[in-house]
Amino acid sequence: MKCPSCQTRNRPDRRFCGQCGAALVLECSRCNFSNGPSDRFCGGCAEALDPSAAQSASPRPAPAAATARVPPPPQSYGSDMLSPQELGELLRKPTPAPTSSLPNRVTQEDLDRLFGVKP
Amino acid sequence: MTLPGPKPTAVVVDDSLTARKMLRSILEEAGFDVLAEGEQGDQAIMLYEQHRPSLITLDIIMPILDGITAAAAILRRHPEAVVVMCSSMSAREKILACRELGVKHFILKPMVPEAAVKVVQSVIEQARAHGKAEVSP
Repeated sequence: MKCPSCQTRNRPDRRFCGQCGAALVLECSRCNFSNGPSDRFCGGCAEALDPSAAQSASPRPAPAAATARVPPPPQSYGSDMLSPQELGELLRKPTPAPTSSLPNRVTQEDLDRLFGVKP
Repeated sequence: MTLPGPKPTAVVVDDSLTARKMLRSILEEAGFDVLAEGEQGDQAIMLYEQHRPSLITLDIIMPILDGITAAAAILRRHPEAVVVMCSSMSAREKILACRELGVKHFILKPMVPEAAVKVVQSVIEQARAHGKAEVSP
């Protein structure tokens, strides 16, 4: 799979580019189906996707255990890179509760009303 | 509750064997005679032409041809067709597209058999009231 960001070829099972860390899959926020980074609609549920989300995705923060093995920081960090301190802070923060991901969830009652057939 | 009048007929098209079995059971419970089953969208069109059932149920995501395209093809040739979608796909735009096409109802999976029985009975009663449900082959 070719990275949309740096064009490096990656193994098809990779979720992030081995060269630049950009996202290689676009996960559907509704059904979690893994789509290609340039897909416009989810292959699992046809939800409209936002490919720019994948292309602009930053590399995933390394797990806490991995940070211990991070080599000494370079002299400066790019604006899109986290320093070990920032990363540590981020990892200490609790994961926010998911926002109501189903505001548009349709129920059978909604469908009964929509189609005007009252069982 | 059994439907009054002649026994309505149905065709079930779904790529899931489990869903087809469940729909057959629901339709038979509702008083339908299930004439045929299919598992691809293109089969839906063929089976509708072949049997001209009182009601056809269509899944949306199916091989070869999706259920919405199949519904559009059936309804274009037979505006009187009573098409009921049966899918887990709850994307609003898809549901609204079905309604625009003239689909009569949408049963959301996972199906609740008791509710689904009432839905298909209501749909066929409404179609009969409009003189659409009894289509001869």
